[in-house]
Amino acid sequence: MASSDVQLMLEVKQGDEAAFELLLQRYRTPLCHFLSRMVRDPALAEDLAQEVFLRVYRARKDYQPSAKFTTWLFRIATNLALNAIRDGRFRKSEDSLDERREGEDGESVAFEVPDGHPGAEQHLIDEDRAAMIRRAVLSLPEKQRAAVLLHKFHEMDYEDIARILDCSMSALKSLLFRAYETLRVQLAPMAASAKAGGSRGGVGGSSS
Amino acid sequence: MMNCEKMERELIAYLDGRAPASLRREIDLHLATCPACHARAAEFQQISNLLDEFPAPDPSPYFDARLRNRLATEPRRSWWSVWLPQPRLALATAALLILGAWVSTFPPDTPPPAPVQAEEEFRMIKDMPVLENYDVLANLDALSEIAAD
Ligand SMILES: [Zn+2]
Repeated sequence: MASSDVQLMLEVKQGDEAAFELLLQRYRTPLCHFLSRMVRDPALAEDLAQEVFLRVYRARKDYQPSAKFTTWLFRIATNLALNAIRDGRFRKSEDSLDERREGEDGESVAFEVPDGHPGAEQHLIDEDRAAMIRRAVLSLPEKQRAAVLLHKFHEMDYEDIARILDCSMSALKSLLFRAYETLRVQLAPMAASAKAGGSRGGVGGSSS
Repeated sequence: MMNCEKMERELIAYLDGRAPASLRREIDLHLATCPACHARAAEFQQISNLLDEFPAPDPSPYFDARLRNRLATEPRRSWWSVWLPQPRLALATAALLILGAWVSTFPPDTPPPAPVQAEEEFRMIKDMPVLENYDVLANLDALSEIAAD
């Protein structure tokens, strides 16, 4: 049977580097997915994911298994992401320029003449849809964004998400509600066209 | 008794199947009689389905190598306590950390500088008297703090 996260972390605390390696293998991808959806810049997302593992490693001697390991891990990741986003706001407006450029690219892609081979057109449409969804989520206030991502992609209880975001349960429900209200306005054109596609299960819980 | 305002708080937990059975029944009753909440529930469900198409790249193939590189420059805690009273050694650690971060920014197809070169640079930084300054240490400590807000 695979060791639990807490058990592995306690082994890391004892100086077992192989246990750290196992935790890295287990959480490298979900953390990178979460952070790449949280911040605009993919390189920054990967840097932040590295930073999360560094922080875990540095904190190993003080580790106490009081909370779920994933709650602790994603709390570090969320705080690093929120700080990076807030820091970025004080820098020059490069970010918004990039965003505009990305937006223009996204739109021009949609009207490009397909290059003839079957499936190319569909591929372009899919790319455009993904870009629209990404833009809509990135436009949410960062705490709402984190709530939506943790709820939708990381199979977490409301209690755990509230702990990660350092807010009450009712504040979390309100964050999620406001985020979905914004998304339903922003993605209204897509949602209308998706009606034909039918439902694919519940609101939360699809694994990244 | 369920009303539109209470629905706002509970709708998502209803849609994701995590609301308890008694609450579900109340919400079902409300949805059957309130077109506004019914429409909103359908749209939230669509938004959730759309989010399934939100792409996320996997970690780069260099992720582990970069991380190991950074971890290798981390002091082992048992030594750290011995080093701390000695600013020169603590600074050398800081220099190594910075050097490690710098090396890790190399594009993957560029070979990192030879160890000899790194060692020379390390010695150079270590011997710079101007760097013997506790401010650097204070900044290192600040780096390890994460504020939630
Ligand atoms: Zn209603």
